[in-house]
Amino acid sequence: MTTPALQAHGLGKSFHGVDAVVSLDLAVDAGEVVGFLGPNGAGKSTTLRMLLGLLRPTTGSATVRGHRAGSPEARADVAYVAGDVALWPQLTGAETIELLTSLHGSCDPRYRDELIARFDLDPSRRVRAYSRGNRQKVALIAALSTRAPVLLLDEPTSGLDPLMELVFRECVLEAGSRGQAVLLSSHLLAEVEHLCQRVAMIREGHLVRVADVEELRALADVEYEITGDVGDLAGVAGVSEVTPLVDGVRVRVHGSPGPLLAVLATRPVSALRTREASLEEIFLSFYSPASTS
Amino acid sequence: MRRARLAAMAWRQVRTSAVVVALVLVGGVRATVATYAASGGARGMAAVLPLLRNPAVEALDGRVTTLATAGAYVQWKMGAWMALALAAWGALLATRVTRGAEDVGTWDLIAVAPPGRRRAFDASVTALAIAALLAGVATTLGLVLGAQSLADSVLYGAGIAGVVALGVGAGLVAAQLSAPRRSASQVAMVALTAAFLARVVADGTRGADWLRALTPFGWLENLGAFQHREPAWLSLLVGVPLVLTVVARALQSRRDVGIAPFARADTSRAHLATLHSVGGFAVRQRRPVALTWAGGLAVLAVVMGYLTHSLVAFAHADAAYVALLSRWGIGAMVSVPGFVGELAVSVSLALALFALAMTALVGTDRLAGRLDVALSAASRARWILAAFASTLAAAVVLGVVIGVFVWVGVRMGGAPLSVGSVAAAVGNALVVVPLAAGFGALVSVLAARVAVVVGATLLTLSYLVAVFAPPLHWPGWVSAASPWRYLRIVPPAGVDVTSTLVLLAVGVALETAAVVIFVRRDVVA
Repeated sequence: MTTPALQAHGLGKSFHGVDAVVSLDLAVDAGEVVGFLGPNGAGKSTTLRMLLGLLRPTTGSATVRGHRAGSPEARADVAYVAGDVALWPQLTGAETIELLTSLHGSCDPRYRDELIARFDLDPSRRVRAYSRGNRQKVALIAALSTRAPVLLLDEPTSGLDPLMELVFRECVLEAGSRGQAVLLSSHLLAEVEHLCQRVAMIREGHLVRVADVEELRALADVEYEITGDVGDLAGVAGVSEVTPLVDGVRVRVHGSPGPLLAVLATRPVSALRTREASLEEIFLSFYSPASTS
Repeated sequence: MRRARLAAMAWRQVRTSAVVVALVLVGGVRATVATYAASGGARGMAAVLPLLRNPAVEALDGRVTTLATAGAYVQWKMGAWMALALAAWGALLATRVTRGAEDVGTWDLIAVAPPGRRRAFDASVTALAIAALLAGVATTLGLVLGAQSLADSVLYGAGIAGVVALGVGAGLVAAQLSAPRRSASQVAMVALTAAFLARVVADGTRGADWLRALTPFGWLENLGAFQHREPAWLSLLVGVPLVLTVVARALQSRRDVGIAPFARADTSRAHLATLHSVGGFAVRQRRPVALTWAGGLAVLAVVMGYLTHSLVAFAHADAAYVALLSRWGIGAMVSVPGFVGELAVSVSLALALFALAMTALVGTDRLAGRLDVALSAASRARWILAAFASTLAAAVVLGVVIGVFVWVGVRMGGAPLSVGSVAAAVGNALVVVPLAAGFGALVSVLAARVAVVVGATLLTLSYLVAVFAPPLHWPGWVSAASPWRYLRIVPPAGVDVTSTLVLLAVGVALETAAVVIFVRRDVVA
């Protein structure tokens, strides 16, 4: 059995008696890109900061490639990008990248230069003159050019324009294909859907589900747009919602579509279109007030 | 309602600093009044008046016409360096709440809110004006508590408020012209230093009295509180800050938020040599501040060194003055090496404050969130130890600079002084640095938000306790907690090895406690 690149076991954190994260179990393997989803204040950043050793867990433990989070060995294996990165304003971009990679202890200079070009960063500017997006680029370039085995990314694309977001996606996919483990906290669900094989969802400090994106989709409702005079479908098993359209109906089906398809086989259907739920819809179904109550 | 909220927000930004300064002023002024009485009052001062009227002394400490009352003594004591410090405080406060808020982006939020930029600016100015007024009231209160004339106390308090307001005005204008905040502060400091030097020349040069009318520090002297009373000079101390504020207000309403006409270049060639290790970066972070301090201390050291010969000669010629210095606990000042030893002990407060501010940078960086990425890779213990070590190294460099320039000054003034004497004096002064650095590290780990204000206040108070305890015959236990109580005047005395080792051990213990806490605590912004 191989050691997970990242593992949390019963991880918990309380601040002044208030639970921010409760008994969280999570493992990320080498080469895996895992999305970490949850609304604001759910405990995503707290979890990431415990995995980095910046916060001391109240309960449980976390390891990076078998080493205790925060230990010298673990720090050498992790690179981190914060959501709203704070850097020393008097340093230039090049100096900041040099400092952060030196602190980490490893840097691939060729890859660093390539990233500077790909992210279209002017490294001669001082940090105080950078926009938020450019500061984010500096942190991303520094983290990625370490080629650390584990990347912890906390909303790393906040402030990036869509073009740079595409560059970021390419870089993360490359990292995954090279065998780096990535835990990506993000509110951009399309980004997570595009990059991640698995998704971990956290709510009010509790990890509510860890599943493949496909597995999550299977749990969600599927929408069918049916053209033709198909009559009343409200009573069909699995159909949860029926919306009349000009030339047909839209129905939402939970679970197997078999009963619906059996009924449709007996009716005059001229067209049938299927639309699977996006991760955003799945996310909303998990976190909507109805599901949290 | 919105205006009231804006005003409350602005006041919150300055209130801690304003209250601390006010409390220090009340206590400091009252203690100075007590020192006057303990030094023999009017009769004791009459003996030293001729010495204080020496042009060299007047250049440094300000013009003195009479010391017939404790109030006159206070206004002479505070008129020079304390006034400069208060004006600098006002300027730094002003650049913090204006340009500083623009640097971190909070001004953007205020500027787009319904009350608008002008009202937000006005709210900041109101808060700063209250801080200046508070300093004036505190000065007056300290004098009145010392049973000094109410009219003169109010006049002098108004003058002090005016000097602070002038610093505020300089800071407000500099903040409109220059960016980032550090540059704006430097511009304001250069202006205030120039004004102070004009006062130095006016007081130290016969026939240059007219120059006093051109500098706010001269206006404060010309007020003549406890002397000849010329309240008309108050009009300048009130009017000029008002004009500066109006100019700053007009400039800020005509420019873009976050932009300054004289901003520092935003691009630079990369200097990578110091960025390859935690220690290298610690040195780099402290280098610009250390260089600024070195420049200021070098000027002070060479001037004081140059004056040493004439001051010592004057003191030697007057037995009454020698007796007075002995009563103050600084009798060693009657020889050139002794004067340098005494000077080094005084400068040790500056070195201690420097050490405090430099180790407190760890807390500042943590609060700003800059340590998140750094400490996800680097060792916390190494980070805080590097801050400590680089601070000690920088303080030693400052000590060497002070020593060299004092020696150069003394030799220029025609007095003999061995390099060994200067080295001993500087080495003695540096003894408090590890303690201050360890203290700074511990306070910044425990309470980063208030580390510099609280730490600097405690260090200054503990220094003042050591200064005032001998002439005021305070009980031993009062001064026992002050590290300066254990510093001998070296030379002529030799280093107290036991005390030195104890002070160093306390410094190391404080730093060790800071390291242990920093390693165990959560890193949170």
